[in-house]
Amino acid sequence: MSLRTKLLLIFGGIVVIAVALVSFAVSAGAGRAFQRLDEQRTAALVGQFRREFQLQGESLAVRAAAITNSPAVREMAISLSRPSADPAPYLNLAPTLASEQQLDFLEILEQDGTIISSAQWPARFGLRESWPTSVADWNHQSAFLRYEETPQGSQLALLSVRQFSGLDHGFYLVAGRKIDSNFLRTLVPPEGTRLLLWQQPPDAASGQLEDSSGAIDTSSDLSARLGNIGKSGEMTTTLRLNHSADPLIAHTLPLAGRDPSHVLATLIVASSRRELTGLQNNIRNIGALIALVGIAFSILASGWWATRISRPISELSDAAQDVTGGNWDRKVYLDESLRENDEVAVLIGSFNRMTEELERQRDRAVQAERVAAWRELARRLAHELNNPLFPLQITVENLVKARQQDSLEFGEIFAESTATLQAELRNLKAIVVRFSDFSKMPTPQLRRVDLNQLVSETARLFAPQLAARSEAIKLETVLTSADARVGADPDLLRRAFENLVLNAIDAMPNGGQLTIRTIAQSASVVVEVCDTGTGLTPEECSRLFTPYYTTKQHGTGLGLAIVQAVVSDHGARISVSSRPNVGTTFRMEFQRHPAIRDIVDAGAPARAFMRSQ
Amino acid sequence: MKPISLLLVAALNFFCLASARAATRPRYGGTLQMEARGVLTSLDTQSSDSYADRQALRDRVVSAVCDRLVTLDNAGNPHASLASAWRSEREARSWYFTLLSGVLLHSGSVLAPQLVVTALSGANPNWHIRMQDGEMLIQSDLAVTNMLAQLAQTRNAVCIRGDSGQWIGTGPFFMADFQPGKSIQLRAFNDCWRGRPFLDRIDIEMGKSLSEQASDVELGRTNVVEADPTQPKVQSTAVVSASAPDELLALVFSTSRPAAQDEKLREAIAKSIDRSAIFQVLLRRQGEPSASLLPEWISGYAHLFNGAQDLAAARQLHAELTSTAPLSLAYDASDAIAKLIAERIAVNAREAGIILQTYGEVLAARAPNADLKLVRIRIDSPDPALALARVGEILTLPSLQKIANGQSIENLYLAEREALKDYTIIPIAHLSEAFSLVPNLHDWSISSWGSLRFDDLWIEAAP
Repeated sequence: MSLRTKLLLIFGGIVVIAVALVSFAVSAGAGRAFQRLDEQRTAALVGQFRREFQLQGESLAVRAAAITNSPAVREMAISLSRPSADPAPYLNLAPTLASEQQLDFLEILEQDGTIISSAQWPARFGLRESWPTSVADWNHQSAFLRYEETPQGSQLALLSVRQFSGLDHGFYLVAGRKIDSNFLRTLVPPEGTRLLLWQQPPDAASGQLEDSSGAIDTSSDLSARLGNIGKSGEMTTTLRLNHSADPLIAHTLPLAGRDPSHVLATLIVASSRRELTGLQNNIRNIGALIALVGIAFSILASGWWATRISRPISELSDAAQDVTGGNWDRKVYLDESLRENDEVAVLIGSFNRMTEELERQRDRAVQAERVAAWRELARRLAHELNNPLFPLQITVENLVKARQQDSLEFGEIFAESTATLQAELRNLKAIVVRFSDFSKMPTPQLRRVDLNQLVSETARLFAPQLAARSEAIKLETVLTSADARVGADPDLLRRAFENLVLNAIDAMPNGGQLTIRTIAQSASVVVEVCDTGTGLTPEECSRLFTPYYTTKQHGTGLGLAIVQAVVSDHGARISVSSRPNVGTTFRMEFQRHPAIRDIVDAGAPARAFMRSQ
Repeated sequence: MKPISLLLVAALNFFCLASARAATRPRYGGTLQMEARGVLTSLDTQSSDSYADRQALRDRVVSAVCDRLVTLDNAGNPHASLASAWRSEREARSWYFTLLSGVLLHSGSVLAPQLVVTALSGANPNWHIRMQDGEMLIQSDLAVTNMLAQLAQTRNAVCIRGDSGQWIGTGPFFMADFQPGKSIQLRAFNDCWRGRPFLDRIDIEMGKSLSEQASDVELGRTNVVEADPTQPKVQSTAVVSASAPDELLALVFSTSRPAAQDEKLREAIAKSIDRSAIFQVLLRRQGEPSASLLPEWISGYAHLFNGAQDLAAARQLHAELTSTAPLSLAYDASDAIAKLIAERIAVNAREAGIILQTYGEVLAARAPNADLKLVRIRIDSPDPALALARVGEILTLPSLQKIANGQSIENLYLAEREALKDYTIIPIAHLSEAFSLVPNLHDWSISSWGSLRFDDLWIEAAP
């Protein structure tokens, strides 16, 4: 991940987290404020409901008392107190009185509970209501809730019962008002608050929810939930009236009848969460907007900072890679925008100083290596020349001594000495030729060469020599069946292969396994020369191709240097892997570049091509 | 006492007597203002109408405008009208009628016998009617023993359609104006063969509810209104006149509806009904509770049908039902009594465990959108066979429609019992038609079956 990306993520993350935390805090604070406001609203509305409930009850009691004292009711009471009285003429009395007193429910009952007249259901005359007879004195009872039967089904009513008497006959008068949407309409809920009433009459299959505007359609799930809420007592919960509606915070108030344990209906003070949700949405939107602006700002800032910081660092990185690649004179130029005491500027300065120092070190190393090479060359040359010089010196001294002694054997000694001198001179000449050959390696004349064939010829060349050894070395060639042709100079390659085989033979003084393997790859052919000899240390491996470096007692240190020169002149690569006492493997990978074949076929020199690569 | 004094006393007595006689003597002139619940939207002579109030209004207007060959008095005895004499032959399969001559129609032309033949042939397609030797001959394949009662029915009035569709007859009043659904104006026909009626005009306001009518008669806006028998008299000086129970109030099941298919359910509802409470409280003992189609005064066997409430049996029947879905009970929305009775029936059914949901609607004979309905059917004949056939015609009961005249009362009873045995029709009560009249309206008469005679009415002049 680049520095720019990191900076962007860090800046963006900080902005987003900060905005999210602020938004959450503000939103939570608003939620708490709304909750407090909602609780205040609910308390006010519940109080209003209780007051209205009490006022309605008192009003009912007053109206019921007025009805019992009305002349029509007194006349009825007296009339029906007589024996064999006919209640039929009073069938419409309750509807008339209910209309006058603006009551929804009014029933006049005999002292045994038989209905004389009913406003809400006139046809119920003659039926008996048992519940009014269960209380001895109704005139000191307050109003209460009860479901009253009507032709349209049971309806929740606030009832007040009064007792009155005729001559010696008692009667009940039950006056009431519906608790429905009209009742809810008398209450003025605060803004954003709704008053709902859930009723579940005993004879109804399902309950009904209504507000001040009328009945509300409810799903079966919601009906079941509302039914359970009524049984759970006073509580606060969340309701959703339908799938598309906003959720409501609902405070429920169970409404019981005369039996406090029997809940008849549930008053629900519902507050819309729309305002809170809207505010929270606004906060979230503003937060998101700020976050977007912050992210945009962070992109710009991180870009600017990244440009300011990462460009020099990137240049430093490129420069370091160039240095790694050998370009030690690479410099990084200091940006004008960077201050001198800036850490990056200091770093660039240090880098430039480091490369300058490296360059100086390299020059010194090259110089030292060159001196060392000359010294090594001189040492080798002295050593190589010294070996034949000593026999030459002995031979010449023997010859001089023989001449001085004038011995009879002088002729024989002369012949031997001259033979020795010639031999040593040839040795000297050979030494000179080898050094001369290394100094002037020929340019490869590339042709189409089958490496399988070249490896086989090399193996055949050494087969007699290996067979003649006392310590047997087993030579094995593993040749690829695929096309192993590359563009190469066969003479130089043969020489390189011979050097590697000789090297391997020298590494196995006690015998072993020598394997020459060709491996065809899609773009190259690999030749491996493996031995099971003494192996090399890593340090030896690293210096193996250095000219004049040898681990052998009589080596010139030019063999592997020549091999590397040949391989390198072919545009190929050579590597070595070795483990002490296990063996060593030289691996050469030759590119089968089509251009090489073309050039070879045209007879153009390969080196020219390779130089152009 | 001196002779002059005696003369003065005699003159004073004569003057007083003359004044007293003048107060009760019929007087020509005046307009009868009348109100009715029924509404006529067109002038047709349809006789089978499940709306009792509409049928009653139609019958009364037709009776005032058109004459019949014979009429029945309150005892059911026939009297000559357009037919001055009659005789029957071939065991009542041939009837000969001598028609009055020179009777003028409202159009001014003389009523030709052929017009009578045409009018009666249209109303009685099974009869073969023709003029023969100056008499009108009515022949039937079956004996028509109650021919005179049939001819006295409103449907056999001799009415002719005028150019504008109004009824033209020979009655004491002619139709001066007809506003469909609103009002009818009848005017005295000066050249009526029976003599000019006392009243100059009859104005009928249609579609007035009973409470509106009560209010109007209280305010003096009308002379005659239909009285609500369940309410106290609207005016201390008003006179209430009522017919015998001539309207059948019955529950009729729509057997095409799945909810009303179960006979046990129908029987349970029938047994749950407390007719006594309906009669005593809702109807204020007007009319009579009844479990039969015909009232007792017509058939004489109504008491044989048991209409007592049996809640235990009703509950038992309901317990045996597999389905207990609520049923819909419809009633005439403009009929306050029907509403009360329907709700009482629902209360009774509820005691048996059956839910009836009542609602008011404009009823047809068999309202297809209700499981059962409460209907009022007007019985316009004192003849039991005619009355039963009419009920059968309105309720589309084929067994009753095919009742032949001349059937014995026993056969009529068996036919009615057969018609009621599956409880698709549950009679509740028979109601009377009652009118409240202002005191200065004289010679008001209503027959047992609700027929009125407008030509005898007269209004006393205001003092």
